Amino acid sequence: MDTNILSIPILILLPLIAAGIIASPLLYNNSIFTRRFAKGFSILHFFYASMFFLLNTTNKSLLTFGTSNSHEPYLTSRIPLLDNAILHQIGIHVTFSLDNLSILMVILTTLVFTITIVAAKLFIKEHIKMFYSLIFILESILLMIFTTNDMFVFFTLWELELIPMYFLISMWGNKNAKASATKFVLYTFGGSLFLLLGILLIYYTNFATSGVFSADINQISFLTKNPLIQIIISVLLLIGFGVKIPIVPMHRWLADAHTDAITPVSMILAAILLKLGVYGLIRFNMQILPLGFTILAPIIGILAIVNIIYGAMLAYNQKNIKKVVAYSSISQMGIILLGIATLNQIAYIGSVFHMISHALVVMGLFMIVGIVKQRFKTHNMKRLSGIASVMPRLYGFSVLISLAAIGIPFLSGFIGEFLNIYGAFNSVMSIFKLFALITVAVLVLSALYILNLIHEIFMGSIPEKYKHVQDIAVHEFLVLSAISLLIVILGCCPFVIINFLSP
Amino acid sequence: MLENFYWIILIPLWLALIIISAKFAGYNLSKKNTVILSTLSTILTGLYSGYCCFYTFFHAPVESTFNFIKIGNLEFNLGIYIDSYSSIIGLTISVITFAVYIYSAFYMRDEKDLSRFYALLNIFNSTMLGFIFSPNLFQSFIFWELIGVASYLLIGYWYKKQQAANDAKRTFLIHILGDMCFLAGFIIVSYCVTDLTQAMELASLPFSELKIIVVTLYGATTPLLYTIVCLLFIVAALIKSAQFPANSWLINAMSAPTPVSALIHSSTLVLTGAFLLIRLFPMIAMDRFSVFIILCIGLITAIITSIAAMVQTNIKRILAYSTSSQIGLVFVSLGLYSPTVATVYLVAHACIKAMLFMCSGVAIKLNRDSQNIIFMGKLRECMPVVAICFIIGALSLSGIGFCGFNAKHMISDLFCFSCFNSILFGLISILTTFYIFRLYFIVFEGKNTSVFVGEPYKLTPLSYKLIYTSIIFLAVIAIGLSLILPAGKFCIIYLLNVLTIVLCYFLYNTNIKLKKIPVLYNIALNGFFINRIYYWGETIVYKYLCVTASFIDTYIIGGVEYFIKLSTILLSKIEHSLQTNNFQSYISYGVWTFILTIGAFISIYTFLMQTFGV
Repeated sequence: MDTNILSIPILILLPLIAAGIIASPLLYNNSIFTRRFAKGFSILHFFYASMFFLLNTTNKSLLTFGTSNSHEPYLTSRIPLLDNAILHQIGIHVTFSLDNLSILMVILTTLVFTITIVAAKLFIKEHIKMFYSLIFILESILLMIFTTNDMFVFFTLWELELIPMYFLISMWGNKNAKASATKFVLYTFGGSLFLLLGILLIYYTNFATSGVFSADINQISFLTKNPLIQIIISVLLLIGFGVKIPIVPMHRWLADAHTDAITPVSMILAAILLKLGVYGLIRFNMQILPLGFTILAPIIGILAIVNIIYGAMLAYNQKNIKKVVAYSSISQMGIILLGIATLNQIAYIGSVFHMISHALVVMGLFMIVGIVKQRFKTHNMKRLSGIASVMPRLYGFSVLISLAAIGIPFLSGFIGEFLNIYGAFNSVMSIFKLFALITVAVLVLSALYILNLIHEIFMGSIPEKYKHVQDIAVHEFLVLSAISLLIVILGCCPFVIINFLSP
Repeated sequence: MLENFYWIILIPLWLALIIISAKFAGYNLSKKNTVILSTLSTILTGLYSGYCCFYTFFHAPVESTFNFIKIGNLEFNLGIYIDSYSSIIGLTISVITFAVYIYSAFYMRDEKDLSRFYALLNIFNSTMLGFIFSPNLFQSFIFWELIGVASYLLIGYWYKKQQAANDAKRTFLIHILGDMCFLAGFIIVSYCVTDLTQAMELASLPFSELKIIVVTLYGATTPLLYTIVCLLFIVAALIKSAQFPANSWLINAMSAPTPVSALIHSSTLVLTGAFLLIRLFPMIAMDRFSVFIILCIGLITAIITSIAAMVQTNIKRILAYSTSSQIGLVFVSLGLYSPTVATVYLVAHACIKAMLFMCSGVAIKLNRDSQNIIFMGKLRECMPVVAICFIIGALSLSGIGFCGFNAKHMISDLFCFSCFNSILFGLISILTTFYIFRLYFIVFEGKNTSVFVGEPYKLTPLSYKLIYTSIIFLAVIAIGLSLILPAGKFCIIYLLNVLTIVLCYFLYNTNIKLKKIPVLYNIALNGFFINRIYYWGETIVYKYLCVTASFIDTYIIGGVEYFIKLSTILLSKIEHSLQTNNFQSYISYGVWTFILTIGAFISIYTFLMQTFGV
């Protein structure tokens, strides 16, 4: 790989530069130019990120399952000023690196932000410069989280990401948005306490066993064979990441934040921020604490099953269409969590695949809900009906995206679900065979809530006053067709991602 | 060479994609072109499967696959597998699709959205062929789900009608239940086989290696697990084939346009379940209990749906119940270890039933879209050709003449090995004859004279051509099949059937007043209330479970959240009250805080030292 072209600092700091340009007085208050700049910039950035994926054909840096901890990313670089000797003394290295998982997450992030920025034109009508600069700052922080090597840098970024998120939710959302944003921040802070404690324990234990201060995720070799310590740290980290995923008793922030935020922000929340928790779980629990994770795996499996069933049931019972989509995320994240907990190659690939697939699907669903809200001024399912007869194109896209959400073959949802279930049944832990069969059985629940949603809003006859509503325009069409196209491509050619992740 | 042309079965899919993308781009294909292109695509698939049919008479089965998912050694393949079963059923499907495409041009001629209709039909055709020609169980599963989706989209074609949309949804949900069983069965078998043999290329369970798979599975599992696996596949199959506990979806599916009923819900989709069992028969045949279950399901379905069909007044429902009942006979022949007879019966039934549905569609159109047979009658006088074709179909269905005669006697030869069995089979046969000729006499002959009063539905010359082409085409095939198949023997059941026709004539074509048996009539009219059970299952049981979940979410988890919030406020109030401006109390707080902090620090430090071993 030619490292002259592909440089991680450029990759992760570019959005910050973009934010700086947008926020600077250079652009005055020219909203059209701001939008064009943001769109163009994010698309270029996405292509730059995909080059990391496309040019990397030979090197592989994969997670190993089981006992081995040391993990060698194939591309590492440091940020000169921040990565200084004072920090080195306490083992903090501000370095960023990529392995195969990171690359996929980076591309997913840039993709999601590109689609969101294109879609934002339809929804963001005020404070435009503010919105785009916050979005770019958030993107940069997320990219850093997905590439960082250092636990403390990870934690700092984990907290830092709340600041733009708070403003994004509260400034453009509906009238409850401030309360929801506060709730979101408080929940994440609550989780972060446990996360910080866990990270400190890892750092301290690593020092106690090896005698070196090190906070590098890829270099910590956990020599302690004491399962108790690993379990304690695993539980702490699980709580910390579980708030973000969210694992069921800690999920209350999700529906409020998703519902009260404006559509592009909901898309980012569901598509990337939820994946952050899973990413943390993979990076910390699976990579650093294999022993503790293996012991906790059945419990995580049970939590995953609860997530799947409980999320689906809550989604079925909602009257607010945006809440249906929000709760469906809980259910889908359960499937991803099950794959992670299974601890084998098939299910691991399945869950990474499902993360990408779910990001696309949930963005599509939020987009549809956003368009419906814009045209019909309501989220209430009972007050909507028969949209299909005035908006046939939207109906076509909705059918495709919701079929992907159910997990119909040749659409991206199927591959993730199938691999997760198949992998869970192939697990060495026999309890996971039961989990796999339960997951098979509850797939019908996802069909129930999705079909309910589609039927309530699209089928039937349209009320007289909505007879003249226009079908989706070019801009909405572009966003939805990009999402649909990706869903179909991933569903028909899953090997693009699977080959990248399998040895 | 044959396997290199597998893309032919994807032609309908490409056509559908082109039509749909053209629609999205705002360009509508003209009605004429849509019909012609679709018909051409199905002729191509027909020619291909016909050639396959011819080829497999003389050659061994052909297989061609490629990797769809590959993780390490684990492979899931897609591809094509041509053997006699798949090519015969594939040809049948193409033939019926061809007839239905022509027929739809008449039936759906007033639709604005004809291209969407044909696009969906094309998608269905493709998924169906993909399923039939699948080389392994993995591809079967994929297309199994897609068939359900295509059928869902076709039933919900008139999405403005709330009833059609609800029926589509309910049908799809029942289909998903079947998909789940299939997936569970697939995963268990695949795991057992790959775990024992370590042959990861067998993970997608190719049919060409079915013997090895069955032997391995039989060795790897306990008898109970083996039975469970077989039962999972049987449940999946019975749901798709509309058999006993799941036959109700077929009745819901009747709100689809009549050509869809003719294509999907009478002949092709219901055939998939039976076809799956035919494919997996070497596996299921190892387990006597499962085979017995298939037999029982077939018999129960055949009897109760025949009874239900006897009292229905909706013309399409009669035919739908009849479909369940006839596929029940296919299950019976599978339960008697004869997949060949099952295949023959499937083919014969598919042609007959598609033709009957098309005839009924003509009746519905002429009656201005009313499906109630009470208001129909004397159709023979205005459509004699349709009446003759209907008689051909009815005679075949009841096993008196044409291809039904041969096929039904193949089953009766198998089944009637004891006195009880003969009586049972006779009963089913008589019931069948009764309901189909009741339908014939009411609709085509009938006492009603005042039916077509007023402005009748205008049939253009083109409509006549389309109707006659499609219906006569299938009638000719039904007659032709009877020449190919081995002839059956005449027996007592034959006589009873003829007597039943005479009975029907007197009951429904003369002035006899009929009385309804009070309770039984209602039970049969509602199809033994099977539909209700699913409806209650969703709208009452699951709905209330969800309400409970919401309650837990709001009041229990939300309550804990509220408690934490409240306790924080409370603590801050306590802290607030401690600020008394009293110097002495401040000193005492300070001292106590110091002591407690030091104590806590020391104890935590000791604990850490002991645990972490430094």
